[in-house]
Amino acid sequence: VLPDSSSPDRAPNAPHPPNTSLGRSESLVLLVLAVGFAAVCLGHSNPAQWLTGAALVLYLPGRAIRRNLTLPEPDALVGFVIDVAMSLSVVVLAGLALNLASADIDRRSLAISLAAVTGYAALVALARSAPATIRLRRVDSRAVARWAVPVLIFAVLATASVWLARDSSDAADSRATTTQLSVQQLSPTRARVQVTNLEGRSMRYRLVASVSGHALLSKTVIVNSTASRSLGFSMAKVRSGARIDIRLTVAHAHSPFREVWLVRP
Amino acid sequence: VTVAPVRDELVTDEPGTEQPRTTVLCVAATLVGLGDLLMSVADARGRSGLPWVTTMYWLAILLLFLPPAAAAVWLRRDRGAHVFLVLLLTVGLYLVKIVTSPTNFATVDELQMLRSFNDLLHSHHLFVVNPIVGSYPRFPGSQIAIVAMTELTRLNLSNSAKIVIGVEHLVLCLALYQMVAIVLDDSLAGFLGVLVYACNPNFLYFDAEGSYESFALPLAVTVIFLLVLASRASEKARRTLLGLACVIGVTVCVSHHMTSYWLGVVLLGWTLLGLLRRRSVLISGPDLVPWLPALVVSGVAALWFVFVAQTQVRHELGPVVTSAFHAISQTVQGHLPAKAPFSTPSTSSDLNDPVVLQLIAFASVAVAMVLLVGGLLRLRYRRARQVPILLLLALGLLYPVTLALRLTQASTETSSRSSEFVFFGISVGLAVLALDRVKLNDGILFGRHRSTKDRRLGPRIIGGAMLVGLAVLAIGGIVVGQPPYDRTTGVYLANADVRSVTVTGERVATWAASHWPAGTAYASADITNGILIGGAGNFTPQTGDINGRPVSYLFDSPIFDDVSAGIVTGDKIRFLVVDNRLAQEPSATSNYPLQVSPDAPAHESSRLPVAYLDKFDHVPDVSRVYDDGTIRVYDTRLLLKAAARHTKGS
Repeated sequence: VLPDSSSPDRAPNAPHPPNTSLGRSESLVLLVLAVGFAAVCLGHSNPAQWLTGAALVLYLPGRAIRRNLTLPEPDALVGFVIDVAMSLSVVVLAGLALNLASADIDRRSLAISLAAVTGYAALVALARSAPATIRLRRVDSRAVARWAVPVLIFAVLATASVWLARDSSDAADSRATTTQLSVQQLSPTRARVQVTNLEGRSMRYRLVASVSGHALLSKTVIVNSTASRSLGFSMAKVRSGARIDIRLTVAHAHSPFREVWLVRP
Repeated sequence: VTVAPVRDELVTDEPGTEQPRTTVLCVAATLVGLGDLLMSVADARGRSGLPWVTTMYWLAILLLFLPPAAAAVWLRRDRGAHVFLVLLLTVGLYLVKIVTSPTNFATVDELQMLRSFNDLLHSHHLFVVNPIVGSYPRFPGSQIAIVAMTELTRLNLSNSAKIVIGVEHLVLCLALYQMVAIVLDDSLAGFLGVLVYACNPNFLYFDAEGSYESFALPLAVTVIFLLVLASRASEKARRTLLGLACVIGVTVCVSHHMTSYWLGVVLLGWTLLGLLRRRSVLISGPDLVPWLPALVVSGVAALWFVFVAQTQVRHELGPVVTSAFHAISQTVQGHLPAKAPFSTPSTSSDLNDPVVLQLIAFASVAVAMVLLVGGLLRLRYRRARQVPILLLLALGLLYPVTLALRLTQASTETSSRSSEFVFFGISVGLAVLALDRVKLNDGILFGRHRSTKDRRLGPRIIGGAMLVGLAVLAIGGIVVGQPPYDRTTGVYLANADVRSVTVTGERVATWAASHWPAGTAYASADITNGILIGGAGNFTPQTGDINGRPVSYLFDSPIFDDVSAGIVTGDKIRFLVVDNRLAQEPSATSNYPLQVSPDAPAHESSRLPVAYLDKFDHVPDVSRVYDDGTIRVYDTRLLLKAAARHTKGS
């Protein structure tokens, strides 16, 4: 952790701590990133939006604002905590402000407002920061390599864990096979039956709609896996208060498989 | 030095210090990674109904907690290693929640929040009424952030929530680590603070959910961390840090009620202690009176309560607190038998922890109390009497009080929801306890020769005891906070939070979203299907009482009588959702008030009789409009029309 250069505790002749920020260059980069990332987020759906959107919500506004503040020169950890917390605060306060202004809180307004806050803060920082008296900390490749090994080991195992979890979750979902049968009254005299096949294979169903044994609809339908089939029928000749039974069986099987009914209004 | 005087940096130029560090960290990373992998395997086996899930689960928990702790003690002077271990521990534990529900929202709280997420996503405006939990839309911070993530990344809501809450989890742990490390000037103390906090009953699951408290708590801890930074900064930087604390504090106030009230109390407490410090030599540490953040946070929290969320907060918290006090007073007076602590309401032994685990839960409470008392005893040392330490230890004193609330079922939830706030005191207790006496006295009282001995013996003696205590604390915390059936995934269980959320329920929710008119009122025989449907579409689940009868009477009664019809028409319930599994599987959390017969075995009372669910088949004017073999949906439109005609006629 580096000491605060404006601190009264610092000896007057003590050397200034190394400036680890990028000064004007960083402000410029933040400005470009804010505009660019907002543009990417507003564009057509693409995989880069994962990164650009997350950066706009979780990092960039806080980082740009922090560049304007007189803070003790923090280390990366302190900076990370402040950047994320400030970014989330900006997002929440921006959302409240949009709502207060009766504007929609949607992709467009969020992207523009977050880019505007980040861009404005970066511009102010750009105007205020001194010309490049920048000394970048040299990257110690050996130190990076030392940290890389445990990080890599954990990343591989963590990724495998999540992959396995998703795979087993998907497999469990696919094992929960079923057929959905539903009926919907469209008008006083029309109704529609819907069969949805979630059995994991193509199915051949027998569908019968009847009133007191008189069939209104009798049909064999083949429904592909994960597909739905809708069939309409008329209730015009059915007396009010009568119950229309709709039975679904697997073709060539006799026992009722699914059963719904509709009471004629 | 004005800020963050953590001086426990590794002396990197000592020969041979780097290689052991890399090796130790690699071993720790491998073991934690294997812990996550083992957890994932346990979940996969649970989904398939295979055995050995519980054994694998506890082994994974030990792998997640113990290696980072051992590595931190091993590398006790290495700040860089401690930071890495904090990150490793946090991510490793967060993955437990991810692998349990990798694709969707899975807990009841998340599904209830889903309604508010969807409302904001579709209406583009805040404060849309959530009929499931009224206070969610009144504290919209998490909804704005997670919906913003969804809008900008085009990820689904579940993945957006996982990213936001995951990053905030890191923020919480890093802020806590830095805070303790800076105050006590000891990196190991910072790590131990995080480690013990991660053992709190809610850290692993509840605070990792995509919900409003998980969003607000890390920000609240950040505010306290900023005050710690401010107390050690120059005047100009101090003003800036206090300003930042105000802004983030306001965000907390609009994000979660209890967290904002807790933060307000902490900041007011800090202000009070800060003022006392100027008059008393008993309190040590830097001089800071954070009156501005205290005023802003407590003021905004109060104003938000009065003008925005009063009704909803009272409606949500009022009955919980009232019933808790009532139940406790009844128990104390002997009118109500005390509940066995750390057990579920179910009478089934399969749904409760074995005696060994319940004993470990009791032992974990004992360990927590030892840490708390040990930390309090260390207050005789000047360095331990700093304002943040005093504040957090004072919060820890509430821990035994909250445990007493576990004596009744009604007050257990209050106890459970407070652990993430009071456990900061326990974590600081260990952090102070682990400091050697030289540091506590700034090397004056005991002399250097004593310190050398302490440093040699400390890691070996205390380290071993600490690992055993930690294992007890971690396992006990989970036993206390999470019922056994909800720790891993598994086959369906009725009324069992995560275990009740199945693809079958999600499919009926999807069907309802595409077939029901907006605003439709419905009643569900089980809470999970009700919340799934309410979260997926703009529908209103009917619960509570109507005409002096609970809506659940519809499903708890053997016949559909006039009372049932009155409930349907009175609450304008258009659809009734019935899950056959309630009659096939035991309920994890409730014993139905009915009895099949007086001589029926106890476990039968946790299953709903089939006839109670089938009765709707025989009600005239009720149509069965959906059937998937497991869940059936009945349409009461004709009943409602007849009632409307009757009302109009009369």
